Amino acid sequence: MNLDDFKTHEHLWFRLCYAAQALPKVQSKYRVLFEDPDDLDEPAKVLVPDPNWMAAALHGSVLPDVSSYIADQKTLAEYEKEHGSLEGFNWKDHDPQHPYAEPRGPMTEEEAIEYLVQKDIPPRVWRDYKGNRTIMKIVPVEAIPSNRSYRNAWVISQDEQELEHAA
Amino acid sequence: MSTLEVSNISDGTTSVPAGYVVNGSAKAWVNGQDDATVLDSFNISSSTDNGVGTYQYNYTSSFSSSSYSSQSEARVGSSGAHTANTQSNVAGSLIIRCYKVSTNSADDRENMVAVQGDLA
Repeated sequence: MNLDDFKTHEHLWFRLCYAAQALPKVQSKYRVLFEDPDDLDEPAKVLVPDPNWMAAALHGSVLPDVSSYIADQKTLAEYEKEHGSLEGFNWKDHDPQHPYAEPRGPMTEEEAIEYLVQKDIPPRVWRDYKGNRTIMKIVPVEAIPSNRSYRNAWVISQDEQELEHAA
Repeated sequence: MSTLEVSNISDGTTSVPAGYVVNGSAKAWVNGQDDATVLDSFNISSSTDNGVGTYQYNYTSSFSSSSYSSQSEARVGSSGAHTANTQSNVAGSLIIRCYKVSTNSADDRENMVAVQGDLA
């Protein structure tokens, strides 16, 4: 199956249907740790790339450029600012960019992680935060503790490239 | 590759529009582990381990609004979680929380979510 046949004029969801049939899953060797600057009492969060999404990112011709998601985030933020919440928001009343944006070419795994940071982590973490504390790190899978006994006490280490728990 | 273009699908007795089949498919689904590693999925870009028993799933192709239907469940893990509820959802993501019955949040061995609704 040639995914290039579906590069244009197809909704993203249908390209995902073809990709799911054609591409073997790829489990990432990276994780993204982040803390919410608006609530530093919350435990550190761990973002895990989806293996089917990663396969599509590495292959190319499936996912839109991340700029389309950022444009849609801006639309959502403007609506929320105007109405006080996202209640009542419906893309049918707006012009979503990412479903019909032209698919981009292949990414490296590192580029794919940067893409996910911008798409799935709030901008207040990766773009707007100006404090001195490190609130986001991209780490190898091995840096994540396998023992979850103190999961709700996890914080991002400020001294080393690894997660530690505060307990 | 060939494409079959049909308006209706019939088993010889009952006929339904082809669009009904497409629109009736789960638009997203996922099977994830307690550390948020995804075993398999569709239309998910990433998962986030938010803390004990709480997971966020981000869609690759967003829903048109937050008014979609989601079903979630958890498989019993070492800490005993065996039910999962949708905590919150927006067009682009959904958060589930896994519980032990009648107690606090708990990690599960696996959690499963399926989502139906209109896409953006």
